[in-house]
Amino acid sequence: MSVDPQDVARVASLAHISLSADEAGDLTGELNRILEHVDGLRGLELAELSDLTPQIRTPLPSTRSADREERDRLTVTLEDFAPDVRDGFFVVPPPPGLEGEGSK
Amino acid sequence: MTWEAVIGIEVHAQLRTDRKLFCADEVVFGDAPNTHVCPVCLGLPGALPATNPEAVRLAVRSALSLGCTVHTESVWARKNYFYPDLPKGYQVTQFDRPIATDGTVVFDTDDGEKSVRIRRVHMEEDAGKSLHDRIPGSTAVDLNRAGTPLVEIVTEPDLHSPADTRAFLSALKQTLEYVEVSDCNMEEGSLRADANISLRPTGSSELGVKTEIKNVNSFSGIQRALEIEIERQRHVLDGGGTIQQQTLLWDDHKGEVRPMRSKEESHDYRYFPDPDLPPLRVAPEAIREAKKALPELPRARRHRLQNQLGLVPYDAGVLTQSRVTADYFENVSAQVGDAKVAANWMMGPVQALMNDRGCDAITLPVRPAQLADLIGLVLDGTVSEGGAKKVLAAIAEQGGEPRAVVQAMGLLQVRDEGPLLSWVDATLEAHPAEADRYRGGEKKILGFLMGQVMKRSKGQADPRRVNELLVGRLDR
Amino acid sequence: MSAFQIAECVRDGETPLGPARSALVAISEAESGPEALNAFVSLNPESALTGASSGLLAGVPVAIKDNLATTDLPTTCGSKILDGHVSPFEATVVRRLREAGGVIVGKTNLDEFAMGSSTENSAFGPTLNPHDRDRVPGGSSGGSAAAVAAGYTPIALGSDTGGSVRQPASFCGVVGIKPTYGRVSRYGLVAFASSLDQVGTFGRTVRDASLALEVISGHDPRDSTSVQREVPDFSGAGKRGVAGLRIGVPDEYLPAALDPGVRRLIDEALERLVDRGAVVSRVSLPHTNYAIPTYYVLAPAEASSNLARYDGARFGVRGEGRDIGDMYRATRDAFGREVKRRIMLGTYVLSAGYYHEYYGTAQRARGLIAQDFEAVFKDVDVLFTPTAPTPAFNLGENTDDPVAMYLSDVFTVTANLAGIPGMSVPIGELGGLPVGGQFLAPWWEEQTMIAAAGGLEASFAEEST
Repeated sequence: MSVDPQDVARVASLAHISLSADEAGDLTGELNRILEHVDGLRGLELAELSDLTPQIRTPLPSTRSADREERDRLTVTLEDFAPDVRDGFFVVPPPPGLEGEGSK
Repeated sequence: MTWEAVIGIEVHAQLRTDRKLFCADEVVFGDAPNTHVCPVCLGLPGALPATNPEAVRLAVRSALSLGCTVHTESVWARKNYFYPDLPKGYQVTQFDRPIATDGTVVFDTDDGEKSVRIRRVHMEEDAGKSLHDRIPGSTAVDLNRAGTPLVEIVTEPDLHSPADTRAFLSALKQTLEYVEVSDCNMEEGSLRADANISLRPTGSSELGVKTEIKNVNSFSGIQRALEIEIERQRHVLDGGGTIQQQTLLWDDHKGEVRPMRSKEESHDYRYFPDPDLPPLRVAPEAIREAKKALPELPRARRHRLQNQLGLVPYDAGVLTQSRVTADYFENVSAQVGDAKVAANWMMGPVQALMNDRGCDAITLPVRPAQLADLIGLVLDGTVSEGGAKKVLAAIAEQGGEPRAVVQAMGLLQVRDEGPLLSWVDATLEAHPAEADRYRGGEKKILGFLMGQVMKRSKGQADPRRVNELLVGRLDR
Repeated sequence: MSAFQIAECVRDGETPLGPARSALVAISEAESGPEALNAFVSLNPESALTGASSGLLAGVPVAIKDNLATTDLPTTCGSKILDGHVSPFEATVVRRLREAGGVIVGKTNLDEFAMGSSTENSAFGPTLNPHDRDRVPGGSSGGSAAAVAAGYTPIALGSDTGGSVRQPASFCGVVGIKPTYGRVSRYGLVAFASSLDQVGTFGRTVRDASLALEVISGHDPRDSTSVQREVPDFSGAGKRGVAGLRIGVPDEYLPAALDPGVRRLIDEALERLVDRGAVVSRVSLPHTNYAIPTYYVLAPAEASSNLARYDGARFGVRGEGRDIGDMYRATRDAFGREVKRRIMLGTYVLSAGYYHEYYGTAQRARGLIAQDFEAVFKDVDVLFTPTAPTPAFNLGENTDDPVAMYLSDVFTVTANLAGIPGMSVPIGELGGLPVGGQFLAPWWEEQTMIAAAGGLEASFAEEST
């Protein structure tokens, strides 16, 4: 399996990462090297195994306990850590092509 | 060529919990922005989810009410995409292993009973709200709603007309309300429905290319949007064109569907099991108990009211519209001992009173025992029907025991022969000509004479007794 | 003085903030001089110190890796994207340290978002190895390892996703413990790869590192992957001795290409353990070679999703943009090269059409690696391996070659994939550079590996007296 520059561009767009031409070129090569290494997993006999994380060997409760019902308070206000807050809202630039279409 | 519409529905219903799905913030509609937020639902670095057991209980109940199989193990998954009101850059949802699958909803339409298969019910967290018109040139984000528990209900494409779709949605909403899992308030967004629609040549079993209609906030809107979209697709297909798979937004004001402008990112949600959450396990006993605890569902109840209490289908339908109304009605009916009379009271004066006061059967200040007593007073002639309606309004206003209120309002009917006969005789004396016309065979004139007696009694006379006495006097 | 001794003195009446004040003075002096290590990203001013005169860590100065949320000092994760970000909530482990009387003196440097093995991938410059300032301290918890090795604080917290506590402990000559997955709350640990991340501890002695672990362990309702189990007496476990302890040495961890010096130190350490009554046998973990490819699918996949929240909308540093997409890209341009690389790799392996081939396969391979451990722990109580294939490498040596850098995690990632506990303990030096040996124990058997490490440590201590 190898990655070409179109794949890199598609993935960068999904991840919202901008890449210079040089970076994209380097990444294409690096990803290919890493994926080549990953291809070592082919041929393993895996049919019997689950794809769910097996690292927890103790049954965990699926839902929270009553002591998680106390609300977590923020030690400061939104303005103290958010880049842009107005009238209590987080403010961000508008989405392309969605102006005027009201709330999602 | 004739075309058949094939319609599938996805409904998002907010589960009626006090707290959010993965944190302890309160679920509140309409408060100041970002006042019900914490590190978890803000998606702050280091915060982790912990699942609300009440939400799971309600999801199980929802699924069971739709006849689904609830799975003892399901898996939380992350759906990855960027949007300003999606704090973590992913939505925690369920993907290939949902909490429930394979249900059925049966509903009534004008051309009889129909059914829709439910493909799956899964749990997920709601996003926040993006307001694009609040701050000029910017998007304002409120995350109060972020993390509210939802169930998404996905049907098979079993619907074939906009009217049936609307009937199905009403039945679905009614069911979710009956089992008290969701407020199902479309205006507040606690119930949202998207529709997939395609056309195929009548008789074909293949599926055509579908479009998805979003952003509809009423059942009538869905029906209209589907009608318009079916017409559009028919026009394209009849002209030899092809349908583009796309997402359409419904504009309620303009009454039109239009394509959502394509987002810059392609849809590739990169689902994978959420490593922060263990698989969701529901014990088989919990499922059994939840099943036992389900109330009688609306269709079954409607049929029982018809078959057991002898109500006509229309009345049974109206009275089972909501569970609280049906409970109220059955309570009154059992005390009165006459379902038909109780039904008329419920659908007439009680419904009018609820409309006036903007309340429902739970918040109505007149309790079922009071209404039953009042109806009893009408049946035994203590108070006239008209008087009882006034009493009903008075009790709603100030409370009180029906008999006492009837008395206090001077609405007790006079049933003693003495005063009744004096009013009857005085009337006949005053209207000898009309009395003669009656005796001459013009029986209809009795109504006029009755009215005169009632007037003379200032409405206090028991009309049945008046009728007896009047006829007795005239026939003598 | 050890953490244990400091806590004893403070409980006996010494002023609780005394040791931390002295530590701050020493750190400020050393870190502003020519021998600076750049171990800290931020330091608490003296006026902000808080501590207690009681508790297991009464008055003990503690350094915290800068990917653990603190409400007084910034939590940057070594990234420009979080420059100056002060968390509005505190990590559970930090709260537990405070409640035990510990005094937080500062936040330590790390590879950006804990992605790296050298602490060179930090927006705030590399940390240097106190044993040789031309060399890396290891990573990603290099700042914490260096701080303890330099004597700045007796204990420190780190996080270990693929070896990020154990490998820097080895490179810096200190003890580093990664507990069983689920033993310690991750609430407030900024996620890199959620199914692999675990908070760990550093100390100059087995006892100090174990004491710190004892304090931070235990169930936390805020972390759904934290397990409800009693916390054993970790700090006392090191004295148990190794007599009769069955120690397995996996062949796959002693490849022919292993640095001969490291190999010799491992053999010598095994002799010491045998001398003290341990029973050593060779064992096999046949799927070890699949660990690195498995890890380099799973960790980036989870990271690509965990790092999606850095979008400039609600916290952190925002880049400018006309529309939301521009803003996202400008903001996320602040990620360093290694972080971008892993986000790209993780996004790719999860993307449509590749999920089953990569993520599904890696999750199942992970199951095989866990099964290897399950099988071998039927015959032995604990495993002993090198922590890293080499001693600390030179600054800049591996930065151009991601695969070479990834391969240096070969002995440590298996514990994260299986969820078992592991720890690194010093076993000697090569050319003046420390080398660590790693003990791996079955799930929830930290005491066993602490006992083994304590026995080995004791044998060195006897020698030096």
